[in-house]
Amino acid sequence: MVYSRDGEAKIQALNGVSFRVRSGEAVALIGPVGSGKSTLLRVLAGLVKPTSGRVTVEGRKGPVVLAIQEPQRGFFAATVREEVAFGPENLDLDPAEVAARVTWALTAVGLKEERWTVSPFQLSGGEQRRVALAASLAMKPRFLLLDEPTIGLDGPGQAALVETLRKIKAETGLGLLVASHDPDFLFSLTRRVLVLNDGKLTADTTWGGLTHQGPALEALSLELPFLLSLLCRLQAAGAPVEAAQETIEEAWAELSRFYLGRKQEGGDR
Amino acid sequence: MAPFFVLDQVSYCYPGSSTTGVCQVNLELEPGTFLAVLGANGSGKSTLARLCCGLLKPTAGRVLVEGYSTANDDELKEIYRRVGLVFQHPDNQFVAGTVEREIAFGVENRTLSPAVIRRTVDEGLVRFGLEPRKNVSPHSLSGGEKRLLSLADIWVLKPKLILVDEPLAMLDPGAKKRITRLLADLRYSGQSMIWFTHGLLEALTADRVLVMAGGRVVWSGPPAGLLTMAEQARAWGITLPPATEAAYRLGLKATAVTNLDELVSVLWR
Ligand SMILES: Nc1ncnc2c1ncn2[C@@H]1O[C@H](COP(=O)(O)OP(=O)(O)OP(=O)(O)O)[C@@H](O)[C@H]1O
Ligand SMILES: Nc1ncnc2c1ncn2[C@@H]1O[C@H](COP(=O)(O)OP(=O)(O)OP(=O)(O)O)[C@@H](O)[C@H]1O
Ligand SMILES: [Mg+2]
Ligand SMILES: [Mg+2]
Repeated sequence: MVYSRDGEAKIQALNGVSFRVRSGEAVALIGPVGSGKSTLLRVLAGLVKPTSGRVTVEGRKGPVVLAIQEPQRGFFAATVREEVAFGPENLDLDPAEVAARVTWALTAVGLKEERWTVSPFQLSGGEQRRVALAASLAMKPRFLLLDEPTIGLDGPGQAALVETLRKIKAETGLGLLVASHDPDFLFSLTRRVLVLNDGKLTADTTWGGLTHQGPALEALSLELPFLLSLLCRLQAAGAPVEAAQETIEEAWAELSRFYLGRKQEGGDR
Repeated sequence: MAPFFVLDQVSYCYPGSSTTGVCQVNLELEPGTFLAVLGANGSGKSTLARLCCGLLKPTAGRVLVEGYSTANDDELKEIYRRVGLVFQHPDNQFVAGTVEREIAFGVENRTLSPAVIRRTVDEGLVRFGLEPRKNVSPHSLSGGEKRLLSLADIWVLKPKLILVDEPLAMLDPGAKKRITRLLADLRYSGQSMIWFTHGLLEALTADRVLVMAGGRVVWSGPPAGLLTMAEQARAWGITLPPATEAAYRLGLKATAVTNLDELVSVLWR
């Protein structure tokens, strides 16, 4: 797939990108500033047409939804509730179901109820992010494209998002493609990682696979998740750990195993 | 001589809104200080930032910059020369049609020779990596490029007080490090900075931290103070450094650990 932007000078924002995502899979998308992540998500969501190549979606019915990088640019409704209700209403659901979804989604992202009736423009940045995420969740997508979803979110906001996404993923088999500059957030959701640089897909791998590419990542202005960086550093220093862990649970288990072992040794001595 | 920067019982209520934006904040800043303002989503950080530079006028209390009050329209010009705000949403900051014009805009409003203007604008373009994009519209940049432009805008003006509202949001890990260093260097040239965020990691080198909750200042002290009260800090919506969180989770005495190097040396001596 290729996508070029018009303008005074043409910019090739995407260059020959090809990949497949299985139903229910969660995939991270990383890449430096300006590498084409948002463009790729917009193409996948059908908001812009690729100048060549194609996007196909097969199988189970249900919407493909994109939560954009700058949520305040997408708002138009008079109140937060109406903003979140807009998507589900267009799915021809009955009003009771729409109302239930709006309540569920706004609760899931942890927006204070007193803010549900104000204009989305009269919210703080983090509150606006929560509204935009709620609007996407309320669509009950089968495939959710998230563009920098943690930007602006405080600690509890990020925790609520991780918890909600994990829950929906387990219950409904939601597919996820998440672009973010926060590798710790991504590591808590996915196994697979796509690396985009200058519009080209330079790696289609897993977090464990990326642990062997530390210097290459750094050259791209990127980083491993904190836990994997820690395991890599320990391993490089000769500690008995395996750094190539695929999920955050496995990484924690490996770190805990190592740490308990050390404590034991200390006790035996 | 009047103190450099003073907030005297500053409050702000948004028109037609029942929630308080900011409530009775007091502050006195010496030149060359780095202050961090931390707090949850909706706690009043951005409102306070807009009050500090005169974009909003307090509904009660006074904001004084070298004796000039933001309440007096004829003194605002003096305030704008001394205080610059990097907005949380870059789009709201941009006024010009191209990246280059955008950086030049503020500089041209100072009485400088054309040669100095040219040199300053070029330095801004190069420092922030925007040279290749200098002829495009600010609004057609990627999210991270917009963030870099919004920083360049204010950086070239060298204001005595620079206010940065979540300056690292939307940047890739490498750019986060570069911008952190660039902002830290301001101190050596005697400029002051107020950094608004919910991440303690960004505030660790601050001279002082204010924590906001519900529009009020609820805690003030050195950043290390927050490490010793992790539970409370999390309840205020503050995210702790990943190394600190990992150390807590392993059951280490976590308060001394704030980065990867420290954690590695604790785990593997
Ligand atoms: N509307 C637009 N018109 C013209 N060029 C654009 C537009 N949007 C983005 N671009 C350019 O296309 C390239 C890719 O942008 P994109 O927004 O996809 O990057 P990104 O990987 O999402 O970056 P970031 O991490 O900063 O969000 C960049 O060089 C950018 O300047
Ligand atoms: N334009 C506005 N009109 C009315 N109320 C507003 C407006 N902007 C913000 N508020 C409200 O004022 C309070 C403080 O908002 P502010 O933007 O200062 O928070 P913040 O600490 O910057 O939050 P965040 O971390 O989400 O950016 C919030 O309750 C918010 O909903
Ligand atoms: Mg983007
Ligand atoms: Mg804010």
